[in-house]
Amino acid sequence: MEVTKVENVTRVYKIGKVETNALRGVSLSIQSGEFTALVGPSGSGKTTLLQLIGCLDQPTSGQVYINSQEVSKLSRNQRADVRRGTIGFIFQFFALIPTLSAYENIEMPLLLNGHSASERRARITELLAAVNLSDRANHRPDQLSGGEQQRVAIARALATKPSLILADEPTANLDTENGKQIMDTMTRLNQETGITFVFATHDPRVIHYARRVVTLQDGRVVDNSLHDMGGSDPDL
Amino acid sequence: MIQLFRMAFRDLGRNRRRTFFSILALAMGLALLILMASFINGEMSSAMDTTIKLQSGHLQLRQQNYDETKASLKWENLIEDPAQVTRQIATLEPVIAASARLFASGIVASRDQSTGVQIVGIEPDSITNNPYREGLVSGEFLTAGDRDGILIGRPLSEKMGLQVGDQINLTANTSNGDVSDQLFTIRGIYSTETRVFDSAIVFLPLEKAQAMTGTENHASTIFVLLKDKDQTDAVVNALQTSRYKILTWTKMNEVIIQTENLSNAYMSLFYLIVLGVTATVIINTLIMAVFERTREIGIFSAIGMRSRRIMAMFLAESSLLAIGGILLGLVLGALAVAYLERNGFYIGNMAVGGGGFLIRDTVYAKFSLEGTINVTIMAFIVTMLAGLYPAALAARMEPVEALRAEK
Amino acid sequence: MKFYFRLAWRNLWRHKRRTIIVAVAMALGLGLMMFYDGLIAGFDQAIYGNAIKVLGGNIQIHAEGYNTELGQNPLLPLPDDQAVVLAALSEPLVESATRRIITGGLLTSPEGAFGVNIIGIEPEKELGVNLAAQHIATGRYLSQDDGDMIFIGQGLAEAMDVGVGDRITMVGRSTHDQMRQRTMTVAGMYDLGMPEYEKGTVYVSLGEAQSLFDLAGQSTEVAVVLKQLGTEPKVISALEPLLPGYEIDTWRNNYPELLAAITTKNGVMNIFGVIILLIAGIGILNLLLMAVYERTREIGLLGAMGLKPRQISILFILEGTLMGLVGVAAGIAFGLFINGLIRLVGLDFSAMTSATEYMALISGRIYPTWGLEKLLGRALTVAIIAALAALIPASEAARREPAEALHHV
Repeated sequence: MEVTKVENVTRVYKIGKVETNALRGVSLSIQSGEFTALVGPSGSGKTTLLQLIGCLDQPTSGQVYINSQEVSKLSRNQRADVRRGTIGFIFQFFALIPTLSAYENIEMPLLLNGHSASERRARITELLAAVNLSDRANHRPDQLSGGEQQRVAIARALATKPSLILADEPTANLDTENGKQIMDTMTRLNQETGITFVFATHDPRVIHYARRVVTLQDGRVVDNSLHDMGGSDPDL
Repeated sequence: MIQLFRMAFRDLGRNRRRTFFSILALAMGLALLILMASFINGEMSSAMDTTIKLQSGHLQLRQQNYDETKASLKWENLIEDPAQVTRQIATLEPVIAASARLFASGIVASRDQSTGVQIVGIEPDSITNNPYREGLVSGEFLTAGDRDGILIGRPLSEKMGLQVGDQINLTANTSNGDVSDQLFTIRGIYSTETRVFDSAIVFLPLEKAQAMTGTENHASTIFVLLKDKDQTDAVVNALQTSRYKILTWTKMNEVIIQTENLSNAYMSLFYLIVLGVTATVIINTLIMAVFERTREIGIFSAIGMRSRRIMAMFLAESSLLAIGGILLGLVLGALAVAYLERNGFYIGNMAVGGGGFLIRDTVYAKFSLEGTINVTIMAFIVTMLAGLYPAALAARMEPVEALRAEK
Repeated sequence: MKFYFRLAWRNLWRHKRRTIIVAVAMALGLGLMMFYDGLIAGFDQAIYGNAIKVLGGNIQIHAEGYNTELGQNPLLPLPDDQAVVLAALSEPLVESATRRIITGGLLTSPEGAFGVNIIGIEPEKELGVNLAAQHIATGRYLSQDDGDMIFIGQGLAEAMDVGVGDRITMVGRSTHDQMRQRTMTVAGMYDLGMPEYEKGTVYVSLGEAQSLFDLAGQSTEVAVVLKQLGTEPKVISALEPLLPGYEIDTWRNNYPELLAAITTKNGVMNIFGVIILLIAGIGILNLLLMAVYERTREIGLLGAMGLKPRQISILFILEGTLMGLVGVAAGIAFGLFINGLIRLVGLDFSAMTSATEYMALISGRIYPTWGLEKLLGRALTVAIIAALAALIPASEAARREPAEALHHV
């Protein structure tokens, strides 16, 4: 089943008088359960593509589909609605709300979706266990390490059982050990729950875990192939 | 909803110095407004009380066709047998005292200077004349049977170089259009610290004034003091009579009341300025805070929060600020007014009050409930409105722009 | 040093949003405070301005010895009254300067005798400033050639029971303390809503006073009315060198209680004004301190560029000072704009109350001044806050290693 599709999308930014073509006609289809990396040097448009898929941004031309629904022309509030139940985000800077504890951060999407208190409690407990942070539930972000914060972010992204999780450079601010841990966690979750994961990254360690790699350059897809999972560990 | 305010509370706690200063600015603004309102209220109420004590009393009874500006001495314009009328009035419960007074125009001459004055014949022993008795700066007060004693005001004594014991020639217009004059000895010099009054008025015992002007057993007015201003209407009803007209303090002091309206109108302009300055600092602080938290707003948007909810979040914060500021402002304002009510501001007196109202030289702030409620409501509304624009700004941010923002 | 200035200036505008937010706060705050000051002065003029006119004008100029003579209103003629008038009119703050003869006297009618001040005036010249002339109840005002015409107050007319056209006897004290008597015709009556004043002052034409009191071609006082209450000291110090030997007096000396009332009331308003300044100051300080985080990163960048901590501090203080100057300039512009605008039309309060019907004294229209009275103190405070507020992040973070500061996100 196709989770998301983009058809011939372009994205042109105008900053002052300067026009930048971040994406110059990209078409891509992602199936349910995929564990896919969008790779390319900075400026290649991978983050932009991720944002378009995530409904955070609108294409200058072309269509974006989420679960067969065309989302590119929706209003800001409608797009928020789409994100709320369907898409989870993970950012490189962790993006947790500083005044909320781990528990409360994970709770946010559930609150927005209107789940009852007992439903929320059950789900959050489940999620904290899934990312091995049950004993850190009441800690605030400034009391958590980078790796722990990112795990909270993963738990939050999973909270509403989305169809799709989008991660923008998730390991960029983590050391090797923590980065590995994050990727292991996400791989396990992908296999256990079947949730689709799409990464934008240029970190070879992340690429190593991906089953499909889409390579972008100068706003275009230049390669789209299954990854050779049997390859050697790049750290050796 | 509770979540909203809980988060708002924590967000405010994130930046304690900033939140404290914002609340402080708002609180000072409100406290200042309360102070201003009390100040004006104190001024006006002090002016009113002074005028009631010194000039109008709570009530005055006069002959139907008596005209104050003319100060006529013709018998048909005066009250006959004032002693009886006074006794009747004094029996009413709310009345502290009533006394008869006679008004006549005259001229005081000494050496080769002369000046026009108003002669007021009073019953020296009545409590209604205590302000003058208490205001003696030198000499003694008048006594009822004094045939050649006079009481003059300090400004007059200074102008003409007179002292207690000096003799002056007083000329008075009489009831049949003549003048009569006589030498008087200055028994005492008084000051009510209201120049316009003290420089124009000389006092004689009522009997002497009546004798001199040919108005025996007559008086121009019965001056009545009540225990409480608010009982005026009740007393008026009790005294209803077609023979005399009754003037109440509100009627006699319409000028003050109108001036009070004018002052309030003026002050409203100053209130607006204070509110403007306060609102400016608050709204700019809130706007800057929104921009500071741009990325955070992006995150909320990313996890699916709608614009309206984002706006509600920021509004919750500004509401908490408003409430905190208002509460602190009420406390500060109450303290300031309490202090000033006791110690007061000293000001000089107005020589020309126009239309004849008098302001004493020490003005006390007087707490005004109505004024305080008004300014508090104004401050609250303004602060809430000030929170609208920044909240709308936050709500309208595009998620991508927000996320892209540098922290 | 110039390098620092240019860098500081560009830094300001590189962070346009922050600069604009702070500048707007300063501009509105300072501008509103200028409006406040302008209004207070404007109110003074509106409320007391007319009272001062009635009391004889802002400034009175007499011949030497006028005030030392016993008794009031000696008939001491000015040596060269025309010269005095010209000197006064040469001052831009002066609205009018007119000649007068003032003495005491008596008016009699069948109702009795009434002591009055008799003022001989130049009717046409005083038309714009004489409140009695502007509030004629019945009859007419005086004209220059009027002989034995008298202009009296409504209160006096009622007390004397006379009307327009009636003849009354006026006795006035002339030079050498002689009494002169003449029968005058009531030309008209003025109504200021102040019976006590009206009972005490009557007007005749200067020519009539001159002939009656042996003062041919002379006058005993030049009455000066100023455009704005409160400018008396300035005008007096300008006139004193021009008029040696004359006694220059002002209501501020003659009615010290009135001056006390005004200055104390304004003192109270000034205290309020200081509180307003404090509020604005706290707000602006808060705003500037909010930018600390951003600036920490800037400091890192500058350090990485090779600047030493002390240089960074200087840069930041300069930036703060420039910010303050920009804000102050904007504030002054805004304040001048508001006050200028309202000066054009005036604020009309007569709709709010009928007090102005009762009292000719209070003008229903307020014209604020430009609001420059307290500007220096206020502007300095705002600018200094801006400069000092820059010190805090500067001194603290300049001590850190650039890398640490850069890393601080």
